[in-house]
Amino acid sequence: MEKKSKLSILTNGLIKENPVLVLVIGTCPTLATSTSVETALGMGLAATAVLICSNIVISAIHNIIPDNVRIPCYITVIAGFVTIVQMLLQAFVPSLYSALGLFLPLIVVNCIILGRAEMFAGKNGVVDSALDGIGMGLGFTLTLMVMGSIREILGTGTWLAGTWFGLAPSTWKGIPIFSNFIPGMSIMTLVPGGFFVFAIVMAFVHFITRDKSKIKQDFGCAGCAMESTCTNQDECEKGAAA
Amino acid sequence: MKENSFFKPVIVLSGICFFVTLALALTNFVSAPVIAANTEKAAIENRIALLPDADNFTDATDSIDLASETGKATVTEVYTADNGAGAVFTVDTSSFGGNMTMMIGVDADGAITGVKVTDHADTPGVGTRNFTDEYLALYEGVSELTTSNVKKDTAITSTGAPFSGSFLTGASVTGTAMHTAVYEALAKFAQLG
Repeated sequence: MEKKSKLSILTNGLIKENPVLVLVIGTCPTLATSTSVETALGMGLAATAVLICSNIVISAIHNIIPDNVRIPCYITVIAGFVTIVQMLLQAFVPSLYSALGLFLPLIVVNCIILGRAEMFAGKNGVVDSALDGIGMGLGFTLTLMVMGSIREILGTGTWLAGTWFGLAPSTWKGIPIFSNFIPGMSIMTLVPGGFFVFAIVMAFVHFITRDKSKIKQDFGCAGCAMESTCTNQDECEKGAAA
Repeated sequence: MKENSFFKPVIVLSGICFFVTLALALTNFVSAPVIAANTEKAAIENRIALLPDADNFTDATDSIDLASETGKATVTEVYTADNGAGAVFTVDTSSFGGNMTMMIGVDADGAITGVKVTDHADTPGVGTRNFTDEYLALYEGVSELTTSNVKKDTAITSTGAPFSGSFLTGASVTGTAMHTAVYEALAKFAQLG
């Protein structure tokens, strides 16, 4: 694999290897928590914190982890960090804890975190893995916030509504965009609306990046999460190159 | 091949579990007292909001029979006002997303002073529309619910209008679950005497 610069590792997750829009992983939490900008930001930051911490720890200990218990070890580390974030949010930011609800413990099985542990942190140094965690986390958060903005504006007619983790005054109802003259389309805050917005944002990103974003051939077997367990690598690479 | 060794995977995984457990224990040591204080503070604020005339509250849960009257909702806590202003009930009810916890304030005359949903797992949007102040206000002033079924026309608000005439009342599982919880609280208030 070619050696990447620190800046390239950091910025890859924003657009070029955006985990949601290009790698298409972490779709479930994306659809579930992009109903408003507030929950999108909360989920994005919580997942980013877990991603950075788990990437650092996994890259630091990957040399001592036997290959056959690799996944249980990664999941244990990730679940530990998720539970720590969950307990800290419940204690110190209870409004965000309530807003994220069930999706917070489900960060454990967020494909982005396990995917980056397997694809990057398990093969690279601590600094590079931390940068990858920051970049991928920011890419995930930005995507959630863009989708959250579109869904909130179309779904409720307002933008940036919410308690903002208890910081906003009780009279804050968000910035009215359409709410003063047309009612919101509540389907946009439900899962079908999430799929519509997901498709549109993904198509837009692929349109503006076109040949710049990663395609299947670029990843090869080295970039595949199943590389170490795959028994059909030759056939797979031939298929990708075809 | 050393990767196939039996002991190394066991030792490494056990070691990782040990350190993760240690980190969790330390975090819990810091966060648990704060979480308990937050929960108690929120409960006190809710009781004061639901029964503003009360000066102080005393736990009276042991003074009533907690067995469910409706079979679908259960009173878990009762706090009575020391100045006789009424009582606040905490009720667990079964809603669309699972358990839903509500607090219901009842004044000394048996009329509802306020209803609040404190915990739920219902679908945002359709289900949570029943949690708006406008809808919850329909219960204020009600001192008797003739039926635990919100969809029946005999289920009426304090103004005499049927609940079923209100927007999403009878159209969602959430509305039915909430009505059952309020019915249960009023039934238990009668036991306080």
